[in-house]
Amino acid sequence: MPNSLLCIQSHFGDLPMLFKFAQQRDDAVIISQTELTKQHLQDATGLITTMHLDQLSMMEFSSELEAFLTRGGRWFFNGHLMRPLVFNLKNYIPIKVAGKNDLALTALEEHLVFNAVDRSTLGVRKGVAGFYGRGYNPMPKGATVITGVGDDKAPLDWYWNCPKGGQIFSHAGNDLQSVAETKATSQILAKNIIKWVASEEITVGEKS
Amino acid sequence: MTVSTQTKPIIGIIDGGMHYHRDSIEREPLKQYFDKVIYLRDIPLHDLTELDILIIPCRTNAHWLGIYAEQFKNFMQQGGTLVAMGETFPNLWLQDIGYRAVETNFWWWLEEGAELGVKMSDPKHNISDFISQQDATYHLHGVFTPLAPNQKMLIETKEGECLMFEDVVTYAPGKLIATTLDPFFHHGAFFMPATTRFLIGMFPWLIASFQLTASEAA
Repeated sequence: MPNSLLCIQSHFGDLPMLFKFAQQRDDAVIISQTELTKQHLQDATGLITTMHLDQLSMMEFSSELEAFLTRGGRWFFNGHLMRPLVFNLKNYIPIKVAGKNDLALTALEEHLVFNAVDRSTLGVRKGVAGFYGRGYNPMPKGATVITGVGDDKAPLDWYWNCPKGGQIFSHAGNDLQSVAETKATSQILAKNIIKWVASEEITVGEKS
Repeated sequence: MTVSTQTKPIIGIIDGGMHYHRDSIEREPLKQYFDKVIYLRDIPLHDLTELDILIIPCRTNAHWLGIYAEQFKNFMQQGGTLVAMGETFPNLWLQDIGYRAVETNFWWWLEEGAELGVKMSDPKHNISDFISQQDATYHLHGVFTPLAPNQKMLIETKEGECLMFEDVVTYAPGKLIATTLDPFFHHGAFFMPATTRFLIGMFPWLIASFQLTASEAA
């Protein structure tokens, strides 16, 4: 389907809530990664991948991914980057965790993905830190750090306007919509991710 | 299969391409154990019988495992040990394995005095020399039930349902080890220290078991 919002399901099992929300849209194409073809990427204008992505298989689509971005596509990437899927991006680096402060999150930049989300609540669940993320995918030159982790504010979340066009949001942890304390916050994050990938305007303060 | 003359068995692991597989495979403390890494979709290109032990790490996509099931059975029937880890759903690609998913309680340990109740089924079994009850205690995703007669329970829930079994009969002279615990996923995500301890114990156990079997056969 041309101009589609492509959601790639990489694990065996039920659709995550994020993809169930996307499923309600006419432009969404939700497929198993086992069935991914070049055509899917050639038709897409938005892309969401999960922490279960088969990155070895995805390497076979590097050219299509770069072309997708160069056409102006938006990609929401969850997880640890362990292969240079596009533009020689570098592998994930875990932070050294000696104490709770090493996992503390710092909101460094606003982003539409976090619209109507109290980001100060995302660092812990039931008082336990670390679900959000424990390291970072190294930022390419020109990217903007959105969320830092630890005293060094390592770039756990970043956003990059690719030089030739297109945008990547990198979240180096468990799937972003799954890390919140409450279901309501998870749903807001999921809807925001879909809207951002679909290049739809999000009114500041909107409750999705 | 030619039984390895090396002291250490030849260990292979499937790489499903997920980051937690690569984080587990390419970094110590586990990297030292892998003699061969096989990408999931390349399995048909490999002669698995060159291996003594083959690990299918947690959450490897069961879609592909089902396609390659005959190769896995042949591997075991030639003497290999197949280790199917959590969320790989061997109940869908091997015969006579019962499975029931259970609701995962990630938070049981926050309650004072709470116990998950995971038990080593037979303290005299050599697995207990390498993996402790504490190493196997973090959370549950499912249980193997009902158990077939050849499936010897190694780790169980407090209700006595199976979390890990070995079967040395069905695919003899090879062996099937299956667990519903998913330590690779959490170890590879740098989370939950018990899962790392579980794996640090599991590999020496697999090696010791292989050596024991080889010496008994000699």
